[in-house]
Amino acid sequence: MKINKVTLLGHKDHGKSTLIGNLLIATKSTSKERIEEAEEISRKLGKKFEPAFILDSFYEERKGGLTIDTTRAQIRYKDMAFEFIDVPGHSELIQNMLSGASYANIAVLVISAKIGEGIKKQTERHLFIARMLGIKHLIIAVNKMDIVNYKKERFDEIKSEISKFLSAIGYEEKNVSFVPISAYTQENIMKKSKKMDWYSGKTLLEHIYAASKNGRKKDYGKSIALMQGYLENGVSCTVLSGKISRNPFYLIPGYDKYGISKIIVKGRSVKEAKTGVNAVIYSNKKFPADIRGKILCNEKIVPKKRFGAQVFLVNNLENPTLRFNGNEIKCNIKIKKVIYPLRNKTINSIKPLEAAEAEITADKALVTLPFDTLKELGRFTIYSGGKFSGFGTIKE
Amino acid sequence: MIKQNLGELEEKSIYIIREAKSHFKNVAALWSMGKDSTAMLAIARKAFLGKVPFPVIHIDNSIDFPETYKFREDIAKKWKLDLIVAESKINEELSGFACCGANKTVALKKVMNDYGFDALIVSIRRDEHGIRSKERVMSPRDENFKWNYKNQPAELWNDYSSKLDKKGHMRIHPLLDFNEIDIWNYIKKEHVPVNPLYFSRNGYRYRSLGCTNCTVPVKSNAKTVDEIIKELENTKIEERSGRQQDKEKERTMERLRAFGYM
Repeated sequence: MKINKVTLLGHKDHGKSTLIGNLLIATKSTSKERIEEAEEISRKLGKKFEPAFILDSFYEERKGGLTIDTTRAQIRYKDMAFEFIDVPGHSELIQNMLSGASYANIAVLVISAKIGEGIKKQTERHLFIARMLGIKHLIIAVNKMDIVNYKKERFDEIKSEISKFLSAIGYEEKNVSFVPISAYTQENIMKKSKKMDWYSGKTLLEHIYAASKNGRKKDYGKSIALMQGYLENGVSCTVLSGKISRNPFYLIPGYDKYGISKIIVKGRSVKEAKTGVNAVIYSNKKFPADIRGKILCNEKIVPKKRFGAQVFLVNNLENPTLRFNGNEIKCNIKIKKVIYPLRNKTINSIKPLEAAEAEITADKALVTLPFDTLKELGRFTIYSGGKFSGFGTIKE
Repeated sequence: MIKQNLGELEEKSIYIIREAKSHFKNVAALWSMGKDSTAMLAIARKAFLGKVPFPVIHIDNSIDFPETYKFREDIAKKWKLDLIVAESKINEELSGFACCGANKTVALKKVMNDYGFDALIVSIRRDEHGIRSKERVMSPRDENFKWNYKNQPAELWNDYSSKLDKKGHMRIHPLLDFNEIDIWNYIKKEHVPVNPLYFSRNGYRYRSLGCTNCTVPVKSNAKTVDEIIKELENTKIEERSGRQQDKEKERTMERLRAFGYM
């Protein structure tokens, strides 16, 4: 069964973990033992039953009522399966949020309708990150509708405010859907709520189902494999696009041509290795020692030392390095234009938790492609003094 | 229980094991003779042209089931494994948490230090336990084997952390994404040998294997891999329900893992 990966997004305490916890219970996707454990702990901590405890397993998470690190839970729905990725909502835990959200192709933003909650900095930040991570389909779940007496006006107010922000960061209307829910009382999650007859749209799970049906990706025209390292006399590699067959290929950087004499996949000799496969390839000509991170391609791609990218910072930059396809490379990051927060456009430097368009100059030439063309060759992480400091996506 | 795409899971595991082997100087794997770590070795053989390219460690408290020892000798010979048996002494007065903490973890520390391993492949899965579900694919341990779970490194896409505390080691988790039923489907597809304790005898079978002191069998009539798969398709019971160390208190697993347990 194909598993569609769905990340949750949103400010702390707006109900992400509670939503997944209740989904697990409602779809009978978790064991009685885990539910009973959550009940017992809720009781011990003097709280009312907290479905989030099915996911929040660390003592500190349960006691503090927060998600510290990302976790996953799977449910089956109709002929599909979804893997929900829970993430922390606290801004200081953003690297854990990224560690979860980067695997998703669909996102559900949970935003509380409660007066005084609504749109927060972290709500916008998570949406911006989803955009940068290339998550095309968004579902905005306006939560805690029970607390605002299921009022349409409050839902409309939040919908219009978020719509403005989403269009400013480049989301198309057709890829965004809105649903009013109550995670705690299960309104509009699996079944249509009777308390919100003014809403005639899909339930949350139906929205996720519809978004999952939409996500077919086109294959990039060229055949490309990313070289991982020597494995005995061959080289292990991952096919990123097209297929690797016993034909001549360019090894890039450099345009040396290599005839492929043998391809081994999972211990067997094969004629070709398709996209997504990890192969071991052999050539009669010796591959160079520094093979890691080079690519094999049936056409020439020009390697670049300088390229344009969007970067999101998590920590301050000081002598930054890029981690790109298995290598760590020194680089210079020149900020061109602030793109998040939206209001800072005239300033040309950014702080942690902000994003910008940047010009990156790497110490050596890299084979890059725009993130939208082939994501594996269009994304990188940034480190600074060994510390995770952000990530980026390549634009050109 | 949801069945996932075995081809994709296997590709990911192959990639992770190869990354581990290319990042670290001295890699070893834990092998309990259970279904998961045996399946992992089967994947490693495919990734490395038919042989397991690292030593495998059995933490042996000498009270594993007799079937387990026979299985160990048979497979080690058949697959030409570089087997390290790390003896752990059982303290009769301890059980559960104290026992796993005192015995298995201490023996593991000793063998890791004696051989100077800088990376350890452990075949845990997310669906086994809420705490294991929070793990990274590559997860550092410090000198004292402590898991700093409140401050885990970033792990975006397949950019696995290779940064390491100088005196610590990296835990590598190539099977993290597998579900229990995926392991059995993989065993079926690839004809991976199975410890006979997993099959039903007199109406009971072991679903998760620990040592004789702390593991109890579950009710089951499944006598073949196919019957196990069928049983798991409909079960609502936790896999590790027969494991005492998971149950004593809600924090047991977390405390055990913080001290270096698997």
